[in-house]
Amino acid sequence: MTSIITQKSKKRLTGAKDKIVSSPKGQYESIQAASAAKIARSAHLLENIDLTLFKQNGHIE
Amino acid sequence: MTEPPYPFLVSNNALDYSFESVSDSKIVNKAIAFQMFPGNPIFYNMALVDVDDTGKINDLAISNNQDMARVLATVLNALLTFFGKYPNKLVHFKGSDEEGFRIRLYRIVIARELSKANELSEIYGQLSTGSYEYFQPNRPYIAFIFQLRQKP
Repeated sequence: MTSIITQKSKKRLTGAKDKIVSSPKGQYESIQAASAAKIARSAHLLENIDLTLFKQNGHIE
Repeated sequence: MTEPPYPFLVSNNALDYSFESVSDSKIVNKAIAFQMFPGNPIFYNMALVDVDDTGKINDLAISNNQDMARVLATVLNALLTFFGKYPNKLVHFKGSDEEGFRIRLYRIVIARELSKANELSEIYGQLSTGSYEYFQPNRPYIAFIFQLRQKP
């Protein structure tokens, strides 16, 4: 599913000062699929990772 | 950050972002996606990809739009928006190319912007599987991990 960004909204997006212009309804399945492929390639990097330092710096869950 | 971030569109769950990288010669559609590691739900992967006019994703594209600092300022802004909704998660970020070109580029930009970025987020460099440290310039990292900096 692809969201429709009109030329008008594109212009607004490019020129907007606020970081969040609007909330799109969704165009991201393929992006999430690409992300999933990256996760598959990176998952081994986090195996048995020691969380001690992260816990010292904040609450994680 | 010395460069202003691009404005972006963000999904309601704060996991997906899109923005335009703009130069005099072209506009490149970019997207940032956060996704949980299924086997390690404390961590979310952050992906930065190019999106062509047909909606096809390319995470290996070199857009060469002369705005890397501004793109990474936008990534940092997206990261903070993500942390606004998921403050207790960690974000893992790794370059897409096997040659490590991107990770070296990211390392240089993070080092250059370290003081600003560190005000907002703890930044760790990952040296190998399971091994990480506080980010230091000129270390051979293979990935980065971000954690929301706790307010005193």
